[in-house]
Amino acid sequence: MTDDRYALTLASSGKLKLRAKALLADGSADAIFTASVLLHEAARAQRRATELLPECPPLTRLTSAVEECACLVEALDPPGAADAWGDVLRSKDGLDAKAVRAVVSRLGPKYESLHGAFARAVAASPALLAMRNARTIDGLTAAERSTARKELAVVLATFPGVTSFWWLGYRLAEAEDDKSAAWDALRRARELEPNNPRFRAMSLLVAAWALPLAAAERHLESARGSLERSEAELCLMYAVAQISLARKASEADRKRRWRHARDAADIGVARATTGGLRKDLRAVQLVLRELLAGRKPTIDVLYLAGLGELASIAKTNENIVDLLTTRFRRESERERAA
Amino acid sequence: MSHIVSYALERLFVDQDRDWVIDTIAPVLAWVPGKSRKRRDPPFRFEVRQRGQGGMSTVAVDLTWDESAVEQLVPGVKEHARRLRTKTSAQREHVTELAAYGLTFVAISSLMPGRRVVHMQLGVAPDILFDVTPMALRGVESAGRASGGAGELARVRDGSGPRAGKAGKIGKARQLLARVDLAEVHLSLWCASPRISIMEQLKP
Repeated sequence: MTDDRYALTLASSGKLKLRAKALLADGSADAIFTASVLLHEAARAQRRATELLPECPPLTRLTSAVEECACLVEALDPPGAADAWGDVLRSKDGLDAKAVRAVVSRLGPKYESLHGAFARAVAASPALLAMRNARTIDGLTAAERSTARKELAVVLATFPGVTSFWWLGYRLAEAEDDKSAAWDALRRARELEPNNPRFRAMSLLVAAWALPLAAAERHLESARGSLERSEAELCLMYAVAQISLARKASEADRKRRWRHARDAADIGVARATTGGLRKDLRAVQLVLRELLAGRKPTIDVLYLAGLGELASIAKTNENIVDLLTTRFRRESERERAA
Repeated sequence: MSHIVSYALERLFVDQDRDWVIDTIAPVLAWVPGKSRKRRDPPFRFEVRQRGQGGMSTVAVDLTWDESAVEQLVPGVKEHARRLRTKTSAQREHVTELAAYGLTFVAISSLMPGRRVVHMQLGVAPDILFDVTPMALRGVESAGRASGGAGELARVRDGSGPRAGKAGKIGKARQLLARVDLAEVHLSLWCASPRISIMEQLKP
């Protein structure tokens, strides 16, 4: 007798794969990307199903790892498939070689072929490769960024499932002030990895910058209801995004946004797991206290929040909100790269 | 031929869960008629060669569909099938695969009555499962070929030796028989031109 939850979770994975196959047969770039999103979800469901088995036989664990990897191969996500391939190699340890061969024989050549094609594509993209190795886009000239974006577009056209490349695309577009491309790339990264808290958090900030007011409002509103259950970083970005939108708002609307931002910062402080994040949220709380009292936030909020190092390099009369926003964005991007 | 089985494609929505079959209907409509200008309307007769514990037999499966009924079940399916017929080779591979799944659903529903599809796999055989009990899986491995008839399907089943500098291919039957986690497995191979199929129970 099979565990019902196991069977149901596997079934959901199977149905996603079939839907993805149909989209791949359609063949348009949008359909292939959507197929990739579904196949990523199918891979996650496959893993969840196996984790539900109280005692998973080693060969079943191997077939599950193979299936997860196959989903990511079909999703055109070579780095994701490579991680899953590592699980395949680990899972076959100690199993009969003939039994392993029978399970891995279909996937092996497909994985190798994808791996080879991706390695060649990245090797043919020197600007992209250099940026990936350095793990930063800071310090790139406009010409270098432009070359990297072109190379990235070529690689993503063939491998639209590579989440980290969409994230890179977002950052490059943002650095070039290309709002629509930045939002589109970040949206795709989030669709491929919807549970990534950093992508969700950053999307709030980017929405306030890149989207028309009504669309940004809708995006922020969709996050507000779940702030109580969200990570502190999401609360921080929500608060900063509301402060940013408040600048374009009417007097009455501005105060409403500041109050929403203050509520989010209060929730975030209670949920912060690191001292750094707690200081950042404290700074936002202090900024909002000043704004709601009708005062312009000064450098004092940085000292009071324990951000003396930031205060020490702030210029006289520097806009504290801008300074903090730049800091939060940089920190979030850096952590992701690390 | 020992007997004839008539099966209406729209019946799949009764015999199987809708979510499994819905994406295979347009590919079946696009693939089964093939490129022939002569016969593009159902019924399409497949000569199905069955091999199992009871020996060999041949069944004719007359596949039919009522266009308006199918269109009602899957809105836009006729237009979708028309678009699929014009696809490039990379996408045609997916169309063939999906059509073979659809025909396998027909075979499961008509030749193994009562069996319901519960899972589908991409990376490990068999493709279609009706029991996911760990180490006792039951299912059907499917494949489709646009042409080549019985000879081509036999090559899918049994594999081929090295040819023109290319490595040989192990057949699906041998791959499935080597699996120790399968309690029951069938092969379901389909060719569009000529319309031939091999249905074989490999295990137990």
